[in-house]
Amino acid sequence: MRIKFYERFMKQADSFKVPGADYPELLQPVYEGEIKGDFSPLAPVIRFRSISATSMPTYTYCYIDEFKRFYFCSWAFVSGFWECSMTCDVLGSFRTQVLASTQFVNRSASEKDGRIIDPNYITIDRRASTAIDMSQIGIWGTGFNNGTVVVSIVNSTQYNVGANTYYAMSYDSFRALMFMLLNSPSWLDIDAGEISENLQKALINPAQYITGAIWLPIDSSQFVPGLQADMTNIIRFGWWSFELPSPYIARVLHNPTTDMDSFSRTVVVEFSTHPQAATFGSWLNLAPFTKRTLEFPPFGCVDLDTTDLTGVDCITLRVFVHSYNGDASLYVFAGDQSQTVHQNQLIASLTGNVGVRLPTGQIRFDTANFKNAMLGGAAVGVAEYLEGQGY
Amino acid sequence: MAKITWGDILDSFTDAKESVQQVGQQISAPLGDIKDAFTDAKEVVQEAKVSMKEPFYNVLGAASQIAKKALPTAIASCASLQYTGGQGTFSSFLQPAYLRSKHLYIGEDRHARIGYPLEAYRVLSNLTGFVQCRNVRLDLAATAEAPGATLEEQQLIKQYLEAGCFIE
Repeated sequence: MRIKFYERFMKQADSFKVPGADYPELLQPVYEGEIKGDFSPLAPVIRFRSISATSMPTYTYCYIDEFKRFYFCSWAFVSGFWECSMTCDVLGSFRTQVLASTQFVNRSASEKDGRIIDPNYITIDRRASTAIDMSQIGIWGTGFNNGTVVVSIVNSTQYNVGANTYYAMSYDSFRALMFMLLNSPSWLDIDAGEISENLQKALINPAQYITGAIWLPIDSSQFVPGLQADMTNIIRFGWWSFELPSPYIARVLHNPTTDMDSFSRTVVVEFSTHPQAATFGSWLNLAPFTKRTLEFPPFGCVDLDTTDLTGVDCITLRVFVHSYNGDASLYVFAGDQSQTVHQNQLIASLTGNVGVRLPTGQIRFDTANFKNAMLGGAAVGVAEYLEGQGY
Repeated sequence: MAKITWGDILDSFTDAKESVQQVGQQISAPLGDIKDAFTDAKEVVQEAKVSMKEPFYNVLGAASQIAKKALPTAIASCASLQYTGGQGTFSSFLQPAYLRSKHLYIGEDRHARIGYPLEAYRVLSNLTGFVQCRNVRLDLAATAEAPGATLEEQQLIKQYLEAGCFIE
């Protein structure tokens, strides 16, 4: 029986590795051997008479042509001859057929599905955090003076909402408006000979016609972009009207042709993936390995469900602001318009009020506070009475 | 002392309400709210009566004292109701908005030894390195070039594939 040995060839039993071109012929000595006793092709014992008794064989791997199998070798000197106990290398022997087969592969070192969570890795106490400053994404205006002031004034125009007309203007225009109102009562167009100017000031409180003034964090250029049909420098004020001095101008809201009753803005914010996601897979972008929190004053904080962010690298923020009162909604979508799979997938929504109410000196009646005061006083009265009665 | 009925009590509240209405007119307060306030106050008194151990005499005196206590408080409250703007939120816009991400790391990459999840059918020759299979099915009949595997050999190969082995 001819047996080809492979010198200096090492492999593990769980490997499909077989001797190849890396092993030149000179390292493949062939010996004649004879089978000892009963045997199985899986574990034959071969006796070699041709190997010198004085030199121990160092071969660890061989191939028996008759069996068409590779074997691992283990040597022993028995009764004056070297005997080799062989163990079939099944993976090496049937390599071609097995590798040609199609199998359901759980795990592979050369290919992966990064979406599948790998339970074989434990979490270690090492963290990283990133924070994307969204100050520059341009939803809000930059600074107080660049915001928009919406003033509701009691008057009569074709755009009335209730008894008010809402004017959107820059903060400078608002200052000009207040200057016009409070610098001189000349806009009242009352003859000073009829009612003195000082008496006019005492009789007429301009603030009573201003039913509200809110500052919105929206750049006034969004509302006052230029000459539009509903742009005006004429402010109607109660019975009166006057012109804002140039270049101050305001937009009349509630004009159905240039609907600015609400303001909306959409921005896309990109985020980075888990630092190890490129190596291990996108499953690391899911909780608990990744947590994402959106902090968006004044709406507040919201934890984003990372499951909703699977396969996307950005979120879309859409803000709606009601111009009259600053009521606002923030909608968070997964992905952007280009990631069509996730288009319109709403993952969070928050509401709040972004309007900053500006003091106008108007006196109002807080009925809720008054009622509370009444109840509080009544309770004290009851308590004092009962105490006086010895209860 | 004559026992006072609840009708008397309600009458006393009616009288008190009229007084309050006069005050309310002076301060231009909505009368409906004052009426609501007294309705609530009346409920307070009724609840107080229920909890008392003995008959509640001199209710008129009590109502008078309650009204006497409540009205100055309400009037003082009204005087402080100058509305000068409400809740400012400009400070909200002084704080930047953030999208924060926190990442938890996992251990060192050992994919060469344990592979990555794949969970798919593949021809094994298209893969290299570590591979682990499930539900292995083998057909290792003899061919002209290769021997046929015995059942024992097939079991061994299946065990290797399912436990994980290396394509090298």
